[in-house]
Amino acid sequence: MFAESLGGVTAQMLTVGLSAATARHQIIAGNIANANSPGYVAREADFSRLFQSAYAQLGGARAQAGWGAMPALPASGTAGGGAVELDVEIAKLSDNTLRYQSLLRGLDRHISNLAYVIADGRK
Amino acid sequence: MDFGQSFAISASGMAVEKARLDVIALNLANLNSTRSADGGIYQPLRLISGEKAGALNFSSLLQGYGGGGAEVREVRALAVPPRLVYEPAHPDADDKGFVAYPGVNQVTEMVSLMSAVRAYEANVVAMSAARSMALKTLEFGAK
Repeated sequence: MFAESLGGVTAQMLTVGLSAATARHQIIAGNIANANSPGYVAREADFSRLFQSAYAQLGGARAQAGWGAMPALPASGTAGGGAVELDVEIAKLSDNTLRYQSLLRGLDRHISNLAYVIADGRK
Repeated sequence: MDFGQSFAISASGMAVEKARLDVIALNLANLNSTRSADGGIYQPLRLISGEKAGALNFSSLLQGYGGGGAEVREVRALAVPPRLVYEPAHPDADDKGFVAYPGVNQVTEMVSLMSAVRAYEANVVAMSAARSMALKTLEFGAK
């Protein structure tokens, strides 16, 4: 896998973040799809445990500074809400889309840096 | 990144809201029907939707989330009394001169209609968000 061989921890964490954003989008889309389903409880993605274990695994392998600067995805309780509130879901949706795009931009820049290094500093 | 699932979830939500609109339209269309298809009085229908069971590709990531969107569970007839109107000249009037019209509540139907339309629009927004995410992914590394 590219991330393990070349990209390092940054690329791995960005990839995890992108996967999480995709999964979060599916959860929000599921909530919106069930906006008028009686008895449906709105779901919320809980990635805190996932990210903690990912940090621990990656950090244990290569101790690096600056973990606090990692993109923090919202960590709320799962299935803690009530009925689906469309406005809240739409707000979460655009927030998630923005996060996804910024993660993607970050990964793009990271790979540009790698390309710069591979080209020996020449453009 | 599997966006197919995102599109499928939003599409299922749109299908459910479309079916809900059909049922509401049916209720409103039969507002003044005095005879139903089976001979009795038309009973207003209500669409019951629910979560569709389905495995997501990220189910391991999500620790147990198994939602696959929404689906139509059933269309149930509401047990509401008919609306009795005194029209002795009406061919369907009973021996006291009352005609039984379906107990369709126009206000409830219109509110359900607007709610279904808004929910449909929200599904469209979710789908276009997935689309923009997928398009951004295509641009990735293009420079």
